[in-house]
Amino acid sequence: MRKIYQAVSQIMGDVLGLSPDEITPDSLAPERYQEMAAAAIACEKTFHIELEDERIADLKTIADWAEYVQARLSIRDGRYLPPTDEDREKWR
Amino acid sequence: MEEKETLIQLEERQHFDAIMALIAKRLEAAKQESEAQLRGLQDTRRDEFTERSEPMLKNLWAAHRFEDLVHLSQEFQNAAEEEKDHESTLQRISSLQKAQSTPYFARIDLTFDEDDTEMIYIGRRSLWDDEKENLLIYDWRAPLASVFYRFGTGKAYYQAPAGRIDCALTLKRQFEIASGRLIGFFDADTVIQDSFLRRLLAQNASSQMKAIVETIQRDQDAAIRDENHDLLMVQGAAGSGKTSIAMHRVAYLMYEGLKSPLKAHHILILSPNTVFEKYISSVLPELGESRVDTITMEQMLEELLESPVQSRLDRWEEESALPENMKAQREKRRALLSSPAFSGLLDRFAAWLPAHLPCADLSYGGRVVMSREEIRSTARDPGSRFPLAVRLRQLEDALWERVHALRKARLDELRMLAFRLGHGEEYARGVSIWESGVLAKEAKKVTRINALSLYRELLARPEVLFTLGRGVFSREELCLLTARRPDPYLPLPLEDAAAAAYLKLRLTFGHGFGDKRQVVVDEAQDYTPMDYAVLNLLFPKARFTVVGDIHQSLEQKADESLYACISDTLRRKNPVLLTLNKSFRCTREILEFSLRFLPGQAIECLNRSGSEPKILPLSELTNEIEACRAAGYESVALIAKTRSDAEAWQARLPREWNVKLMGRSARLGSVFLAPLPLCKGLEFDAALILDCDRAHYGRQEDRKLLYVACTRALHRLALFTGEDESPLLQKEAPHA
Repeated sequence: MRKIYQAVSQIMGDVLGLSPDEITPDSLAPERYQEMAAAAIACEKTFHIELEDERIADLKTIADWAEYVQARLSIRDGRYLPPTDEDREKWR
Repeated sequence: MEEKETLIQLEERQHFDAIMALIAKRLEAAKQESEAQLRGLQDTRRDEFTERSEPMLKNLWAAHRFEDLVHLSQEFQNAAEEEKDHESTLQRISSLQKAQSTPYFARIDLTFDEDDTEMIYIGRRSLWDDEKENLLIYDWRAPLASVFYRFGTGKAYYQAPAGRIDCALTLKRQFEIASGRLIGFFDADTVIQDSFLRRLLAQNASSQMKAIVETIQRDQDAAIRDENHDLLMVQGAAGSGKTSIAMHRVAYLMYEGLKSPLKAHHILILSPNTVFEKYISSVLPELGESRVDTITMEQMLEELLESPVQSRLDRWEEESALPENMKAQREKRRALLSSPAFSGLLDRFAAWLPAHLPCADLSYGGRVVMSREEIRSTARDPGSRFPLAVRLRQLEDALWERVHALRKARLDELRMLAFRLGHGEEYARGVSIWESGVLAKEAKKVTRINALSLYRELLARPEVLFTLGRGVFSREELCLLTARRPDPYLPLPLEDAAAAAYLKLRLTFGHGFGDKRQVVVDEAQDYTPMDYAVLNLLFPKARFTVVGDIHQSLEQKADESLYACISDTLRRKNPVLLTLNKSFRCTREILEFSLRFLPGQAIECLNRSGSEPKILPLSELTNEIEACRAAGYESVALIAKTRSDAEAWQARLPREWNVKLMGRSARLGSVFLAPLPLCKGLEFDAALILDCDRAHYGRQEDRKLLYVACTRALHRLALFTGEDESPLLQKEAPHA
């Protein structure tokens, strides 16, 4: 989870133009749909998952995002799949 | 004869010494085992965490070794198991230390055949002899131990797992053992000898309830060991040991010798308040069992409704300050909301709701994906076995499945649009998120049921209330319900909270209490029919133990019909009502005095004598407190009617008396002020009842309050009056 949180923070930092140290749980203001979209696209590419737009609209903090990404990773193909080497390569 | 007694004494002494030596040996071994485990645990921690896990943790992110995480989790698991073993050894040590103080308290000799007599020693926990492979001490909960509680010498029997076993009880001996010393013993023909019981009861009250395994009475034992009834109700006079029975019953149900013993998490105790919770909290550990969950009705309702609920004490406080006419109105409203008729109205409301849910078509990308008719018809589905809230959540899932099928095409449309407007992918996705968010909000308005809002809405819509309540409630009653709606900015009144929780449970299911298999309700007379209806829905699979006293209800009228109502509401198999009419708490004089407030009631009393209760002028308060202190009483309660009265008294009393106010977290001890509702279920060495004047105790309904207050006293009771003495104090007080 910590790993995912770090990766999501990094993504948010890129989207918001902040360094990961400057990111706070509420850095991403609600209803900033452009930034949400950019973050969603980046998360989908990074984690190889599909995020549902109705859920994204509900996410308020970086922790919410990380938790949601974790949940989506856990149900890939209906079962838990540990990250592949390819995934890890992408996270580097 | 004397020589024979000496021989018996010698035998018992030798037996006691042998048992104590064995316990000491076991204790020593357990301590050594514990030390070895502790050393092992420290080594494991050092090896695993310092040498292996720490570098692993450091490198975890850098190396991206997921396998390391798995390995680390295994290391943690091993350490956790070692820790569990150590905890179990510590528990054994604690149990042996307790056994060292009082290894057993009774002996019974049972003859099964003419030549086969067994000596059975009974204690709080069993002791196994490894060498001879037999039990040296039987746990008081063992089936065989029931003979001690239920029979005098002569023919006896007990229910073993294999069935009834007949035997003859040839000897019944009770021991006085304290702090590891055998003080004495005596043989008794009767069930539990009264003089022994009187001596125990003459001791001072403690700030925490004590276990009573040594003195359980025959009828109490029957209640404790009952396994045949899914609803066991005990109506017991003040001081009859109702709460003790409930606690010992919990310990009994957790006894590992039973066919299917309960675990601590299977049991829930519903207690009247947190002071009481604290008071009973030491009984189970004293009996060698883990604590079980304890909750008050207010806490349970708050958890269910996720909203603050007014406490019983706050309600008592508020209503005590109201003028009579308003108080009467409140009581009427409370009785209406708590009645089975109102739960019936809520049932009709739950059935009415699906057809009247406010809803509109749900659209995505300009297309209707779920029509208002479809929503209504699914909500109304009479064939569904799911409650409304679940059906609506299923509907929401179906909605998103349809949206997912459309999403790709919709995103393409949005991309085209964005492209035409000179924007990119992110713009299109942003619009999609916005659109989905709007739809999610609209959908939730329909599919997420908020029972509390619906309940408030019901009271705010007279036309609905009148339609559903027609023929059951009068117009005046319905007006009363709608006119006095709960203030949304204040904690929800208890009766409204119970009704809203009932509605919620009718519309949904699954509330985190599903694993409870035994629910113990204490002070049963203070719960309303609606409270029991909530318990019935909340614990569908649980058995119930309900203990109370209809003469001790503070707020509502309770009579013999209470138990029929509980039985009808909880609808459990084989309900049974046991009555305990013997009081063990007060002296004969205190009980006789207290009974003047319950004309026509007869309560048996253990013949323990003490000083006569007094009605004194206020000027005598100082002398009385001094007398209590001189008598060495450890708990002297100054009982006021309400918390604000108690606070006022605290300000009036000399500071050097150091009189504390009993609150939600206050410890009992020395001299303290207590509001009456918090005293329920507790006992004190002396009870000094304040403000016994017409203003505080002038109504006929206040008789029960005085009865409750007076019966808190173990040894000494005084009532303090002002200028206008309460008419209820007169011996021949007129009553309705």
